[in-house]
Amino acid sequence: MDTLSNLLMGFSVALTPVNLLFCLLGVVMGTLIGALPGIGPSAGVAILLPVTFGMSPVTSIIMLCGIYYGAMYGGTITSVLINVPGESSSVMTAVDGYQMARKGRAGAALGIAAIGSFLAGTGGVVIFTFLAPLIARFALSFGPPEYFALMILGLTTLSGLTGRSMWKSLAAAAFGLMLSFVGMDIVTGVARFTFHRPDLLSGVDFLPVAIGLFGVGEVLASAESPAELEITRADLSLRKVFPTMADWVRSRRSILRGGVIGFLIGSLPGAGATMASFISYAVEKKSSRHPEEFGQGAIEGVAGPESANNSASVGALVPLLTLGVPGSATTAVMMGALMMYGLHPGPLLFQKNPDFVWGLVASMYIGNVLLVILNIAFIPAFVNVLRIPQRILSPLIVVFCMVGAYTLDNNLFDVWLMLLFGVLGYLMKKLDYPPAPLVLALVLGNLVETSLRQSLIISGGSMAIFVTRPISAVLLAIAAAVLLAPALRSLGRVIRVRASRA
Amino acid sequence: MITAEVVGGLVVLGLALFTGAQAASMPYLVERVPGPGFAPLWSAALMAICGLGILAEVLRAKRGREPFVSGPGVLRVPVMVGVMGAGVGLAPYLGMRLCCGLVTLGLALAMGERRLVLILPAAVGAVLAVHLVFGYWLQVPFPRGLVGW
Repeated sequence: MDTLSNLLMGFSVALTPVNLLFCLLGVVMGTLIGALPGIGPSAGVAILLPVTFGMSPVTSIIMLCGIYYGAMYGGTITSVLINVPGESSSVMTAVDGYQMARKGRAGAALGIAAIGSFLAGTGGVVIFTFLAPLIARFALSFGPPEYFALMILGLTTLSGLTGRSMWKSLAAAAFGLMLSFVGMDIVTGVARFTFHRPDLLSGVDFLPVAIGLFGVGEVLASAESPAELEITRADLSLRKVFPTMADWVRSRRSILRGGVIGFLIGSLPGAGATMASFISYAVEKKSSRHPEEFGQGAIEGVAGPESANNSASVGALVPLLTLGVPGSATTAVMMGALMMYGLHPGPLLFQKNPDFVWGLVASMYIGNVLLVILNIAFIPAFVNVLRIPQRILSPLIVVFCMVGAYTLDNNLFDVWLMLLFGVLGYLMKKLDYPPAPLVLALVLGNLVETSLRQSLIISGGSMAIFVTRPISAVLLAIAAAVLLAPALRSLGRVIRVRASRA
Repeated sequence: MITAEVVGGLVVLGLALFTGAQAASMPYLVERVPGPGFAPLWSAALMAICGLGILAEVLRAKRGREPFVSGPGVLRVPVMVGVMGAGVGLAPYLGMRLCCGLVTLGLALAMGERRLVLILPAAVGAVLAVHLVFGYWLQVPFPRGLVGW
């Protein structure tokens, strides 16, 4: 009952004209960002964050979340029409979606993706509505050791699950931690890694780093061989976009399964929309009566992954808002944004800022309705944006990155920093170092250090506090398991090979 | 590519050693509680282990010998970085808005676009968008430069 009255209060916040306008703006921008190859939701949220500086925190986060889940919808357009995923979570959609487009069924693929995304996304928001307050209430019992363990778990799972090499992911996370230590130590007042530069005394802000790594880094990487996109000719009239009864019958279970898988995977720190869509595709193929059709234009291969990636984007907000621990690059950027507005994500957010939390939840219901309308009725308009040459679009993205970094403190030093991290982002991309752990570690670094210090003050300097408290012990054990899993797997392989030889 | 991977591993290792040395000069514990050097030192240790892990992984793997950058990207990326750097460097003298237009122009040319009918409206559009969204709406005090805008 409490939840429903809170939700009603949230709708009263989300339905104000300003919030509705920025929700619409967010989902439109998100769809465009998702549709444009080479710029993902993390970059989109980071680049557009400075635009929200003049807004109230709730309006700002409504717009940023709109960009996030809007990007999940938008990624489908390029996957289906060009066979180039707009962002990584749409990779699996391209497999069957593009084949459907080649058979003249692009409209059906885009339609079922939009409807599946809407149903799974809304389902995810319903689960979030009832689950998040329970998790937040449970998390109220967490002390500094539990938070320390939780953040270590978030960092290790993200590092363990992103990128091809765990060493590289961990190195990126360690570098992010290093960056978070730059500046004046809050306890002792000692200047760390500032190299006598006054600009560095207040630390390295996450925004120039995120904009550089995700925005400029991506632009530089794609500039090596800018391609003109060849869009498949397709009839995208309303009649063609609505799925037929046969399509609907084939897809309904895929949408349900995708939605559940997406929410569960999305809620895990480190996993995310991309992994959810891969798992959903594998599950659909396995449970299908016609697995041979997958890869040839099976509609379930579009419905499942698309439902999963949307539901995952809602699931990813669970650890961010209830525990204050982001599980992905985009939610890390959002957490940084919330902290800039003076809000501290975590269980207390539900008690101290209910209008903010429930306004955001209500806006997600509204955003999903707006998105399904946009993605069914206005697909041709989004397709036209794809015709803008990359050679024109990329410079415009860079200009927005530069101005965005400047806006943070009205300081050109941040722009230089953004440029430096842009080059670093390019090099990291070339060498397969994932940027997400770096940004997450930068955002969490100070909190990790503070909770470590608080824990050791409580225990009188004994590290045993982390293993004697059950929740932190379990969380640290899971983190250790994630780190050791690859080593144990290769050890098992060696033992098996030796056993078979013997 | 393998050379670049090895260099990458060495850079991680070097960074770890440098930050470790810096962290070692700060107090490790202050009244039995982690001091300013505690967390950086352990992060440096983690980074050093990662650097060694990366080097071992790279040297063990049989990777192709494809170049780090090939084709037009060899020149394009440094030129683009140069254009961006020049844009930021000139912002105090020419004004931020004007520099945004020049950066758009320079980057489009660097990326191989030659149609002025596309480039010029994009550059003017960038200047106007920056002025309207950030200068006018958000009241961001941009450097005005010698031109005064």
